[in-house]
Amino acid sequence: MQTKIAQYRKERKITQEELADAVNVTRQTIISLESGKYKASLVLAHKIAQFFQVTIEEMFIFDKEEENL
Amino acid sequence: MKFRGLFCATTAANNEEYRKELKKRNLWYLFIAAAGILIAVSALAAGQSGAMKLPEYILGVYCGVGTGIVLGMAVLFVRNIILLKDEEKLKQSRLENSDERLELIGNKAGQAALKVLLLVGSAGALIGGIYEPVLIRALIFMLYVFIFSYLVACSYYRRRM
Repeated sequence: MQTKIAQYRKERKITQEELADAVNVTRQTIISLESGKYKASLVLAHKIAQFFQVTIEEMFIFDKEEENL
Repeated sequence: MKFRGLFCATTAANNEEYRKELKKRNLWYLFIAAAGILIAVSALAAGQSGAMKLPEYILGVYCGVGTGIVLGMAVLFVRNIILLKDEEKLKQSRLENSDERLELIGNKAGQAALKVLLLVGSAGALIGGIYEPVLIRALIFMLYVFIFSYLVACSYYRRRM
């Protein structure tokens, strides 16, 4: 799953460490989310979207084929 | 604050909650260490008094298990004391133990290890059973325990989810 975490993070000059601390995960999880290796749970997706004050749909890009939608 | 795991997992949202959780865990470690001491001392006493006619090897296993439990709990206890004194290490430990990705990795690794255990255990018992029939009985017992636990867990989680 693709995300816009890196884009929003860079725009707002927030480090991976700061974002990880804010949403209670390790920095490695943020790296995996940004590279699309790991799919966030609904709770984590909500926390990240809330942190950047955007909707989940704006932050996470669902690939309809990949997700069988 | 929910208490999720005795060794790793936590739902603590901040260091303060995690600190309380670690203190509670340390109390549990003391109880478990006491059980370990009891096992080791009972085995030693049984060996010396000759009250129970157990082979030397079995007494050694009980003694080893008891000592292992005590040492394991001592390591965890000391680790928690170190964490409680260092705010940065405490935070790092909390994040590592509440991180959903690491939890998923742990679950997947556990599932893979269980499959290997069942496969190797079954193959070992079937081959070894030719020479030692008790291995087949141990395998059947292990499979019954697995199936029973699986069914109970399925039923529990179906009601909860």
